[in-house]
Amino acid sequence: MLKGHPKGLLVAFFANMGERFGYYTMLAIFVLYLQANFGFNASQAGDYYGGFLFGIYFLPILGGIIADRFLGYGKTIALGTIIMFVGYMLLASPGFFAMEGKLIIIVSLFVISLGTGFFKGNLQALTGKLYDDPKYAANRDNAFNIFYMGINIGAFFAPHAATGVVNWMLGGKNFSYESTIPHLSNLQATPHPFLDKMTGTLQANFEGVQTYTAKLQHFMSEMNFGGTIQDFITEYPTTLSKGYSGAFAVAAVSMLVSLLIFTIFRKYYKHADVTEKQKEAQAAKEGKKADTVKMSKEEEKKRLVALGLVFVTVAFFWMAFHQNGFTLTIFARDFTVSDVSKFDYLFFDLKSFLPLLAAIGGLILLLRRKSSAKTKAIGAGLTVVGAALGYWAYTTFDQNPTIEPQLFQHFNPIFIVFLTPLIVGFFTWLRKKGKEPSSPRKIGIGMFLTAAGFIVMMSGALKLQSMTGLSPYWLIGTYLTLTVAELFLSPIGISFVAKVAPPRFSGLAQGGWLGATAIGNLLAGLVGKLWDIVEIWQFFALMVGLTILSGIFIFSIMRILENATKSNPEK
Amino acid sequence: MKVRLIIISSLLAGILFMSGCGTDNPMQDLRDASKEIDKIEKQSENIQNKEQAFTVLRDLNGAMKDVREAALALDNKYKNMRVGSDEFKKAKQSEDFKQTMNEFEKINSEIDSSLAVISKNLDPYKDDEEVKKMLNKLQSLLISR
Repeated sequence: MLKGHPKGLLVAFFANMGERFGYYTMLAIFVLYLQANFGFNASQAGDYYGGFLFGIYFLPILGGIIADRFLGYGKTIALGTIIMFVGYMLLASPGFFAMEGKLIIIVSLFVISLGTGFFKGNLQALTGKLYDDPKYAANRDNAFNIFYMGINIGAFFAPHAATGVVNWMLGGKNFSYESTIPHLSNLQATPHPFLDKMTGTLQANFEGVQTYTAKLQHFMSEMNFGGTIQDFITEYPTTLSKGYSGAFAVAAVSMLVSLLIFTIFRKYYKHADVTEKQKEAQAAKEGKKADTVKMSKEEEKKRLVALGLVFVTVAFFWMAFHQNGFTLTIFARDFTVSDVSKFDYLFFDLKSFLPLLAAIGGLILLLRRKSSAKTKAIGAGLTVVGAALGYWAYTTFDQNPTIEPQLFQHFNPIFIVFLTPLIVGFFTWLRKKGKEPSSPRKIGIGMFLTAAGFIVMMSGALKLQSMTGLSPYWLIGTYLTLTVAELFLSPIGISFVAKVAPPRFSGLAQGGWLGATAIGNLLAGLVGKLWDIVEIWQFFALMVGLTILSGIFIFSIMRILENATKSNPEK
Repeated sequence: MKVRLIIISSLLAGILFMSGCGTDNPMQDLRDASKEIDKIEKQSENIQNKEQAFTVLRDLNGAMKDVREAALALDNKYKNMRVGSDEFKKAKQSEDFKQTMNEFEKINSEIDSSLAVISKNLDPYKDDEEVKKMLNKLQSLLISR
């Protein structure tokens, strides 16, 4: 898969993977952290979630300007990684130093966003520059698919790292994870005269109505806690908070790893780490003609308009897609059956899921007609070992294992890693037949696929009218469909930007792509506020409607977009 | 092109508008929820089978969720106080608290009488598996988030 690619791609791949691992470790627990620490409801958590994600994806515009005009790509990327490290450490500090208040959280979120702004778009621009070399130019689309896999390998392990750290911290005090305890502790600690009265009314009419005190006592006995209820409501949230802080510290460490990779292997991308402005300055210094791409103002305008139109439309994709860390996580917690069978749990535990994936991969190698005898032997080995390890893991599970809501987030990245070769192969097959859709068409199809993903959710939510909790496979099905949509839209979009952007605005254009993501994320938070207002199926129906309209819009401007892709600048 | 841009801008504006929906008046929200529970009470008079019992209970859970949110919003005023503290004792003596509590109790008694009827009408179906699951949800609904 790496044949015909420069070594610099691997540096970008691993640096990106490290950064995304930290980011998604933090994101996997972010809403739960806010709800646990500050007692936020979905709407309040949505303000922080939407605002943070807006910063993460909007500030790359600033990062792009800084790189294009002042620092160049490499220095801006390295600086961004250091800033992110500081931000994650700040975010981790309240749990460890018993600091209170939301200000430190807001400041740290801003610092992380700023660092990401310096890092993300410029790494994409630098990767695109590696393919300005005619030797590699034809592989640009594939390069971004590989680059995108790096993001998702990092994202796949992230929720497990977050869960692992949180459980480790809780386990140290003989606690186990119970998502409701922080809220119950808050109810126990502060006066709730109106809620208490209403609880009394409900108790008078229905048997078995629970009070927060009784529920907390139940958990205390389950965890063999010897102290008073006051001790419990102090110690449990503090320990959980430390667990969350530990996960944020893991994110900080992964920034350092990313920085190390990017710095040590600089020689592999150094030649591409030159902006148009730096080329001109260097040429002027040497008294030579600069080797830059010339483009008329009119051509630049045409391309910027095409980019702008794509940016507006993809904002709606990200609005829908980024419900994954927000309303879909809340759906997983509140409306999905959490006590599952041992078989279902195979897909939620890394020690069984990874061997199973290895077994499936091995089976593909074994059955593929083109495989050599050696490859078939490796495939057979993988299948046997993967299946054996998977079965061993299966035997270690409890009879009724419990799924934690954040674990659903590992499906998207793993689907990306597995589906990327299939989608790339599909496009290659279409290209050979002369039927490959243009990049803007792929983006449009991606919008309709997104709608299909939410149709799955809407159907599931409608079933909730006659049952209490859905099987986890509904959410898994949605993640699968949304992932296919993402593969049609996101790497192709980044490649489209790299192809169409006027060279003197390379960093800024990648920042613009991420800026569109920022608008989408902001909308994700805003739309998420409707979660508490409308019926669940109506919420998903709204997602379906908005994404279908966006798909129609992109097909209505297809000619403008395809013309921009076809035109070639002079060099 | 202008028309298309207007359409896409309208979509954005629509989202912004919708996200601002909902009131900031918990007592009004409670009144609305009480009316909803009153409707459910009438609906419960005609329960013929377990499916209808389930639907009534599902709707009741939805309405009680609104009640919970309204009650929590009213309680929010005391979020920085401790249970049994002098500060909270003082707050309970205030005119504002007494007035709010009076109004709350009026609505609460309406809800109480509706719940009594609903519960009685659900009695024959309380052993059904799906109804039981929904009842379990109701039992922990006020302390969930």
